[in-house]
Amino acid sequence: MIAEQLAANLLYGAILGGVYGLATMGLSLIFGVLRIVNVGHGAFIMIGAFTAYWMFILYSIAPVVSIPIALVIGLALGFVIFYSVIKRLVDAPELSTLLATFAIGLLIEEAAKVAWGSDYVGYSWDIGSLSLPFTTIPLTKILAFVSSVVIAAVVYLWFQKTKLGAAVRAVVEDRDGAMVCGINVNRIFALSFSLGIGLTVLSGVLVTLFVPVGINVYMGGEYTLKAFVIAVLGGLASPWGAFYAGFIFGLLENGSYTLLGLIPGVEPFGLTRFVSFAMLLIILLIKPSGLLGGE
Amino acid sequence: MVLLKLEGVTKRFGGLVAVDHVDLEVERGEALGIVGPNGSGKTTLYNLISGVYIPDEGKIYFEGKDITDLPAHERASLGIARTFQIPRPFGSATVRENVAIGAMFGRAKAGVEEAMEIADEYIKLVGIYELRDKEARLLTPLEKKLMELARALAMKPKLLLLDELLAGMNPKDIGRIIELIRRVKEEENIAVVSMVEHLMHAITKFAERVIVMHQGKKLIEGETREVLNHPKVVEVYLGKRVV
Amino acid sequence: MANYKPLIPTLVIYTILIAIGALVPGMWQPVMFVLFYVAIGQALNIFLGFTGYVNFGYVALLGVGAYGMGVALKYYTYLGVGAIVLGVILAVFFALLLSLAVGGVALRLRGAYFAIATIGVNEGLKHLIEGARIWGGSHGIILSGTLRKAFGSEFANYLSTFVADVFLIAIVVISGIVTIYILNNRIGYALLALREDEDAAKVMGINVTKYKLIAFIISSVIAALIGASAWTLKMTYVFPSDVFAIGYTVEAIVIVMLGGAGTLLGPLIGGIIYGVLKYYLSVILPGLQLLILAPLLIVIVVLFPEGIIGYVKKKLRYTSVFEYVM
Repeated sequence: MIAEQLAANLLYGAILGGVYGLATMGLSLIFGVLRIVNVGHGAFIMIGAFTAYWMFILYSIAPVVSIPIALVIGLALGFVIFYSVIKRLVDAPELSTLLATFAIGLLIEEAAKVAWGSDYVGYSWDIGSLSLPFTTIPLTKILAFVSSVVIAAVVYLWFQKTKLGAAVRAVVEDRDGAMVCGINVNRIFALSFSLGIGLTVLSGVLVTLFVPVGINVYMGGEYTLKAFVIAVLGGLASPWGAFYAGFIFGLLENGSYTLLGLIPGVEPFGLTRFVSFAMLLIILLIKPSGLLGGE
Repeated sequence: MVLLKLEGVTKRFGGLVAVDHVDLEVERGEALGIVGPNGSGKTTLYNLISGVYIPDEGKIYFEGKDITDLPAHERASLGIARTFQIPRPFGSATVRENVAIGAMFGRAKAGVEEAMEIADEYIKLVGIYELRDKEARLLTPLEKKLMELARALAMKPKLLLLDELLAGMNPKDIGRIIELIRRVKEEENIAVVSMVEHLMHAITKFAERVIVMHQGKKLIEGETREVLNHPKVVEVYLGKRVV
Repeated sequence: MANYKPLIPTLVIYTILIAIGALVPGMWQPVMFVLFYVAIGQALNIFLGFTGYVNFGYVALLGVGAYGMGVALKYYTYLGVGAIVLGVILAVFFALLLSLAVGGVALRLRGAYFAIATIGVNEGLKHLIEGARIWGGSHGIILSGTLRKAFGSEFANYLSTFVADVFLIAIVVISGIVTIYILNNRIGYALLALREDEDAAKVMGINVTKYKLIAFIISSVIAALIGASAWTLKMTYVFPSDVFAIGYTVEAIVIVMLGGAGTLLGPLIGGIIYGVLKYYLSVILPGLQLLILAPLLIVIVVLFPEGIIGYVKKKLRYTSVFEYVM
């Protein structure tokens, strides 16, 4: 019984991990290129989640179709934020960028609260499920997982095979060197930031495919913490490390639910933040530069 | 009396071996030059000695004590001071405060009042006394370099590592600074290691002994004139007779 | 070289505030309201202002301090007045515990990692208390009945008005003095160096982790005492959703940045401006507080990072008044 439950949890964990991984790639990309930590990361995931929700509820648009919509919204949002705020802070002390991204995330959350209220919403999109010996998985979750992997692969190919992708990698390696090679570093910054935000908002849609309820304007905070744990685990500047680390995190998180659930009187879900936080502290203690990638 | 000793010190960054099994000795109060083109591992070597990096292999001894794993701030307390090639002033503090910080936390460990007095002494010595209350970020590059020197000296070091201190200075200033360093070195019995890429004249005036670095390895070491005229060194530096 | 002159305008302003509160009818509550914000600003400044590191979980220190006092007064009331002393001790103890746990691990690292590590702290603690149902769980600790029974109505009232207020005033004054002490001593210079350039500071002989930790602990302990007095003692209840609310962190950050991070007068001026504005405007715009604070913080950080006092210092640099502004 426990073995079945554990197996089911681990499977869910791996699937969720893919989504987590994609959700963190944007964060790592922004840090890798601009050396800026987007403290407001979770707010963008929330935007993606609400995009999926409203598209489904108002226009009956399947969440899968919301993926490109969310990407476009994210790119636009990232573009606006970069040119209004981030651009001026590229060479500012770290404190400034931490506070600014924090405030941006906060602003988005509060504006969303004014627009959409603070209630919890959700939707249900049932396209059947897959039966396995130890559990039944809704196809939506599998779809979320497949989408994450496909999108991550596309991004990877873009970086490796296109000229623009190469330019971004050059800027990550050596900003000044890239400039000397004639790369317009400012444009690369804008592109990378927008892309990072775009990926993050997009992953909000995938998150709802996995958990279509509990969508609310403050949901981001939990994901910010998870994203950071994953990013630190995978190396803060490495989008690929982040993706792999997402899997590990998903596995550990779901595994811990099973174990915590065994303790009588303890509500595992209430303690998730605590678990994430504990994991973060442990990782930072052992190897602050990440266990997989480097900085 | 051997002050600093490096045994087989190696540092790698990914696939690149920046410093490759280097053995080195610095005597108390000696004037040593380290010469080598960019990428030869000089800067990494300094970072290893001052504690910014920990070596992957090898050992470092200071006054006979193993400091290989000692953090940077403790090495400073033991008496190792350095300047940076591109000066790193504490911008929002005044020149005097900058230099005083060296006195407060270096080997001297002075209190605030005493540190300010020590600072004044060294600021006068390097010749920027009139700038003492100016915010460090407003200084010219040359003034910043002089302040870095004063700050390092205020730490009362036994070993002073100078990183391209003289690069970009005009000949008159170079001469003055070398004289100044020589004087302080004698008075306070400091071993001074000076790192240069191409100011060979300055090195011959200053250093008794020279080490030439190339691709992370120690190429050759010995008495300054001999080394700088050695065929291997001439080859590495593209065949130009320098002295 | 020690310059304690800036203490003069500071103490003068404190005195004026208290005088207005005591002498002008109806002004005592507004003044205490403002002083609360000055207090949380001054406490945060000792860490944020001096190290340049952000503690996004700041309110958690206020919260554990509130709980320290709450736990003492609720479960140890039989100690009589000693329970209040115990409350102070517990508040300090919890603050030390939390700051050493978080700081001990995360302060060894660069600023961004530390900021990340602190993000979930207040939420995490709230969920822990609610989820594991510690100390009343989400129902919190209600003290009014307990205090009245133990001390009698009159003394209980005296506790949550006069004593709580005097306690807060004392914290404000003491943290101001601590701030200028730091500015004038070796620790202040170590913090300045590590704030400007952490690697250069290390090479100069500064044990940066030690100094960051000291600043963090001092800031945390003071914050805990604020929570113990201005929240628990004064309001006689402790609810986890109140005392761990992120709004206070944001307000404190805005106060420090607006006034001038790392200065003595900065959080005082910032606290006064913010406190006054909030007191008189919160009637008009309830619940929109964070929506206004967020863009305000962005504007300050992008356009005006040195804050009011930083700007004033620049302008007065070569005048005789400069010595009084820090």
